[in-house]
Amino acid sequence: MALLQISEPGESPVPHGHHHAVGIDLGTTNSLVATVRNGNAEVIRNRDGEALIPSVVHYAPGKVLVGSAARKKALTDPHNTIASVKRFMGRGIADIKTLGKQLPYRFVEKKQGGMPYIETAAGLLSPVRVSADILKVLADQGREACGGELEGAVITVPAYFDEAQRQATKDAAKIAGLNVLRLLNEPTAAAIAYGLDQQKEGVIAVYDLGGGTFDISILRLRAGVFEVLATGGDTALGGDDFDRLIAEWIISNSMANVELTPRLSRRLLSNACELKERLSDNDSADFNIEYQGAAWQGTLTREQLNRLIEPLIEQSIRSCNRCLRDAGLRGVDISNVVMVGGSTRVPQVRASVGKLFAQEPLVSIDPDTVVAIGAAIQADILVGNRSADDMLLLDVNPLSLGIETMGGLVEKIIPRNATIPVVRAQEFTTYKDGQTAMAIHVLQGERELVSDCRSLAHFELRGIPAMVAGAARIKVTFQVDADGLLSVFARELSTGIQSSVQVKPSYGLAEEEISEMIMASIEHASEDVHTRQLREKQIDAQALLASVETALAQDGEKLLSSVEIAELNAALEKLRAVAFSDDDRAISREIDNTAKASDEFAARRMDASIKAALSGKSLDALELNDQE
Amino acid sequence: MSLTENYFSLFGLPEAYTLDTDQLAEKYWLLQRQTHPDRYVGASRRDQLLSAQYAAIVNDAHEVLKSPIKRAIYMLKLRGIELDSQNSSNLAPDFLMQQIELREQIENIKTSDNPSAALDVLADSLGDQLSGFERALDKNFGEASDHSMKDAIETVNKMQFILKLIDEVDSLRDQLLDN
Repeated sequence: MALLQISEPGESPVPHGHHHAVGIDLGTTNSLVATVRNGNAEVIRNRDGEALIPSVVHYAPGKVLVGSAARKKALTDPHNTIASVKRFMGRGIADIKTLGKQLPYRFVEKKQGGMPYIETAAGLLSPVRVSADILKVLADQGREACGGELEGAVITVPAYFDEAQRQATKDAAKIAGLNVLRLLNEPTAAAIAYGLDQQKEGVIAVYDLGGGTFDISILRLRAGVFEVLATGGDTALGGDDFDRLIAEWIISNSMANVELTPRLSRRLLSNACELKERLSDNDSADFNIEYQGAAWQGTLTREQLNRLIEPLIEQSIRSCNRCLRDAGLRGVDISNVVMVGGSTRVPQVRASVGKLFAQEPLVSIDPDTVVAIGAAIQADILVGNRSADDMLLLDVNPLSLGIETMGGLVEKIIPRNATIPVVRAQEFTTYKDGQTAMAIHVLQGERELVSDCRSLAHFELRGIPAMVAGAARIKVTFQVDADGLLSVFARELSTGIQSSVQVKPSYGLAEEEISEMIMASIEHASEDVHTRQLREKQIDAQALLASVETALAQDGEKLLSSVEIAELNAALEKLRAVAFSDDDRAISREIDNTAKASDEFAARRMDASIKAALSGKSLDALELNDQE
Repeated sequence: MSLTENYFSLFGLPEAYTLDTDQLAEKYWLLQRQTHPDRYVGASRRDQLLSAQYAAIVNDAHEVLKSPIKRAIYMLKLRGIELDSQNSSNLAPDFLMQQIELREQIENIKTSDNPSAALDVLADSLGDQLSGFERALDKNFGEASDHSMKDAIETVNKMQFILKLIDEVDSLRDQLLDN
């Protein structure tokens, strides 16, 4: 599996043993955890036999409840019962205000324009922390079912999640003590579960309408390759919005002059949700709401419901059309439509999607569990339990990324729907004589104006030598990794002065805050920051030693001169000498040295493996001397 | 990184303008199976970085090779010809005239009775022009003389005009969908 352990096609790179890994669907309304056992992906149930764990957390001083038990507190203690926290992930206070007036929580900014915290009986809590509390429960469920410590988890996110939302999700997983193998897009996960199961080939559309988010993805499936052609969606559109419209309808039709308290709002929303569900099987449904001695009755028909939610469904259909065009396809080109997410149970949703793609959408798979199942399969592959040749996943970057240029305009550097990982660079110049610094404002979105895009980060490149305007050459490089996360580097080409950021969105947690939160959790109470860092360094050192040693044994003589081998061995010797010591600076130094000493070798091996793959021959059979 | 210096040799394909798209897709998947970060999840950090770098180069190469215009610009670059804005100033007057007419046509479609049908017709005709340019480029790169490279530059410039028009047709379609 490691780069320096190139395996021949068809040969499993895994030596022995089963690695424990889970897939987690961290949903707006419900969350699930799944794993692959004996070759079968299955959802893990909790001790009460539940597979769908409500994404609700209740906080009391010194006590955290997650799931159904927390949801029961929603009516009696709404301020301390956090539901749908996914909608607040990576969002600022202004974004959250647009989510609706009925939110029963009090948000506080610790610093102006920073991450909003929720006021609870357990203190001020960030949405990231609340998500981490849900993830901890799911991870425990996973550990228990697997019977051991988890090597890692694949966590799903809506395909249309932006940088800030992805980063927040990854941070939450870190705080929950999980090793994130990959952030996986939800519709892609569904496609894996569906495609591997049915052995399908062709172009499929995944329409994923959950509680709070909507995604549409179009994928080409062929010979075990899942290639996402385009994706689109809306991170603030879901079944919760249907409930809100129904609740508003009830208020305007049956509840004149009633003062809405958070508790009554909660009650109304849960009644609305229930009405919506009943209307999936019935033409009309009655409601009877009793609250503090008062009562309101009425009837909602399916036709009325359809009229209420039509604009929202239309909004999703527009996203589908745009996605089709991005993929260069028409509705009729789609061979199958897969429906994902509980909200696709609404008949009108199915009808509209069916009409767009001119076919009956597939609803045979359980829309609630398919994402977790797909994530579990991906996790199983990533930890090396099955041959990676089974499946290859090529996903895309959902939103364009760029930087601010003169006049408040955005210059795109990476377009939406570029296959990840992706690296793109663009050159800019100074616009004033003698300018020695350049501010770089990183943005995400499709619009042309800075004010219409999401601001991701600001950073500055300093120390540019004074030149006339337009003479400096500043190369800005954007890099999006396989998790869809962005790093930005800037460099002045004539001097080589560099500056870089791992983009930390404005509404994110700082690295120190995350470390503190990890330390604060019970599992790590016994160690301090230093011990933890040292242990990570030691693990890094061993991984590097193992991979270079194996590589040398396999291909050293084929790809390196005897001088090069001797140099590499010398570097390895030094690393070995400190690898288990408690001198973390020495370990870091020798890791860097060994990495540097073996970079060229690693690149030659990569080139050789590419040549071997293209020629269909094994590495040994290739003439490897024609490197240059 | 000797292999990554030429996208055609990276993909093990002959350096010719016309290429077999099925073969391109197959080679692309083959390369991604070797380089994609999903294959290096348990590897050392350096190997993970190297994998991401290679996979990004493979993605970029695929992007260039599969696009008729990017492929042409890349092939010119391999021959030491960098396209810049100055190259586009000497297009034939009748071609530029035709561009103006096409632009007027798009404006008229906005107010026509059946804009979506008219857009389809226009998109088809633009698509035909594009195919014609691709055939011309295949010939130019096949000959590979100084003169034919000049022709190739001109064709690429024309192609850019047509692609811009196709973009406009698409965004007009967007607007129609939104209303």
